[in-house]
Amino acid sequence: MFARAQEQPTLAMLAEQQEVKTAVGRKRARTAEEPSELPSRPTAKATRVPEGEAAAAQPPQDGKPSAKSKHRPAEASSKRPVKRLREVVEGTSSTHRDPRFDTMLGSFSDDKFKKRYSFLYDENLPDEQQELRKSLKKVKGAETQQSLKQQLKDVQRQIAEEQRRRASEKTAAEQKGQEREAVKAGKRPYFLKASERKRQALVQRFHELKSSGRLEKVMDKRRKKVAAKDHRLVPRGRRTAPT
Amino acid sequence: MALIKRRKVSQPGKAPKRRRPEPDQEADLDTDIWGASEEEASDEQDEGAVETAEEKRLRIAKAYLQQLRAEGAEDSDGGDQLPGGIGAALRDQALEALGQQSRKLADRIDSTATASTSGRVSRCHWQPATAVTLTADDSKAYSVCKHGQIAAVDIETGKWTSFRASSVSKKQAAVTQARDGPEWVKHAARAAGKAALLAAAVSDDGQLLAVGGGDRFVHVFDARSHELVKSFPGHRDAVTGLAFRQGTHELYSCALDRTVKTWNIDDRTYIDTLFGHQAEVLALDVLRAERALSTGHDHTCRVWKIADESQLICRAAGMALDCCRYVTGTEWLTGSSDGSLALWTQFKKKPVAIIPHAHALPSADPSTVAADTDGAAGVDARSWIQSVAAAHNSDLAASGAGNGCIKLWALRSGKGGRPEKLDDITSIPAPGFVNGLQLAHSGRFVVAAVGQEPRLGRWGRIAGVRNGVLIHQLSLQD
Repeated sequence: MFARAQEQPTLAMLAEQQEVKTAVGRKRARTAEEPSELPSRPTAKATRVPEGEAAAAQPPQDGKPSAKSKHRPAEASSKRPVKRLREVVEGTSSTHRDPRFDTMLGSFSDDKFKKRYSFLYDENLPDEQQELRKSLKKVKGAETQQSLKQQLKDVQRQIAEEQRRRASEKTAAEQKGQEREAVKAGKRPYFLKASERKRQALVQRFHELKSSGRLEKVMDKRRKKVAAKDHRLVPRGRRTAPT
Repeated sequence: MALIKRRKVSQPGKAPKRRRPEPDQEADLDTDIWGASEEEASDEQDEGAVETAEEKRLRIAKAYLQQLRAEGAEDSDGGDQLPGGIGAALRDQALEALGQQSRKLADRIDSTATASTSGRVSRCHWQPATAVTLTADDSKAYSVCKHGQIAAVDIETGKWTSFRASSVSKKQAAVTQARDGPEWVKHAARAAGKAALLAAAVSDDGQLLAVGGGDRFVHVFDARSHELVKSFPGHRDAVTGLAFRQGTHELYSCALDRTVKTWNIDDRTYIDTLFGHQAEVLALDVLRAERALSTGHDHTCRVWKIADESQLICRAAGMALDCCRYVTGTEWLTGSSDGSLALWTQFKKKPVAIIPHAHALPSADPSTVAADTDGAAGVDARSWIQSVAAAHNSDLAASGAGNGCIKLWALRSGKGGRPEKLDDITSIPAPGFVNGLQLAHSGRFVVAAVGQEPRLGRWGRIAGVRNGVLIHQLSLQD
């Protein structure tokens, strides 16, 4: 048997602990060194720890987090067993941002997008087109062929749209360049109307079609389309063909 | 139905309360049990004037001074108001309690002389030594190893005696090898892990030695006679840290089961379990106050305020902290497996000072070294800091890793008189992994538990290194 080591009451211990016994129970008051450093708060049990061990610092009495308490270590209870499903290390919470609505991610600008992601239209979509063509040759089955055809059409449409857009951008940039030169030469600045721009684009398209020989075909199609649209204006009696 | 004997603990300074009559005594049966309890309760309530904290402090202080006088203090020196060296002793104790180091040892270290002398390794262990502990009077060191052996080393002579602790026998401790089967069956690692001892602590008076390891028990021995006092079950995984509260026989233990437990060795009882760590607890330290420090794999240091039943959580940025040691009552050092040494204070949630790559390997090129920051464990286990030590109540500290040296650090104080900076003093050659480290109270020597492998696993191995206890003298200029 070993004699119980008598605890020598030292100044160090006095500086560290005070015991106040009351009639009702035992409350251990704050130690001597603490009141000057930590914000005063009720003793004994620490506050409830939020989920995932993300305990916040103790809020001081006035409710506002003081500058000092921001840097203090968090305080939590030591009596709660750690759950089986626990956060072993402070995990990074992934915040989900919707790029459409988040102001941090800027606003969408079509021409900037097209400029930055031009590689999609230059490399990715043509490659996809080729792959689709290959698989169309290989794959059998009406439904899959149908869907592949549809996909191919979509891809081709996207490529064609982008080409057209680039062409119109180019002409617009050329015109602007010409106007700028004219202004530099000393002439007064002149801005084209939207309708005028449209008309000029139409003229250019006409010339292109004529040179490539597709003019008649395209014009026939257009006439047919317009006729079909105008057919709605024909009176009811005359809509169907006479028997 | 037996009467429940409720005995009121009498308050100090008051007359002892009237005890309730015991069932087998010829009691005064007119006194109803419940009546007696009511009277006692009312007695207490009537008192009202309970001794306040200040009164109690005054009383204890007076008793302490009387005790000091009775111990035969010498004649007073000039300046003190109190007789004997009491004034100086009290001042020192107060400074210690306030956390201000009263001894300047770091500036007295003679770097060249220290580095040039070679330490002595006592080859007292077959397998790597995992922990070492030093008695308060710097006379004896106890170390434990992965084989389950405990060695008691005498510092002066270097002689050692060894004894076993583990509940797993020596035969079981040997790594068994199956004849056939896949590789992971042939080398049965777990048996050896069960026998390993990972932590050791000796009480201030040198009476009790506690060891713990893979068999999940906390074994307490009589330090002098090497007899087992008691093996405490309770931990559900390997015990990784042990510490005695200074001046008492209260033991604190931490384990891989994420808990810290407190034990009273005098009463041979378990007291309490402290929860909070989210991953394995790897190291533990405690000083005189009822306040333990533990660090673990969840990148936190937790200061356990036992009386308040609460913990303070300080977080490291992605550093799994392998070892910790108190420098003052409120500041401590930690070493981590990304090779960085950090100085913490109880009043801040982040470290006050960090030395990254404190034990960088000489062959490492700067690019790979830089890439190791970010908290990821360094690729080479030799750069992990497995042990830190601090000379009690002074500004000298040491750290040990596997890169072949123990580094001595000076703790420089800042504005508040508290340590705020770490300065490199010198390196002591120490081949192998330094798994345990202690600085002498006088600052005259360093004791280290060295081995071929790191403490908690086999992430690296340095062949040809002697397993055992290294004692290196430090030369102090006066």
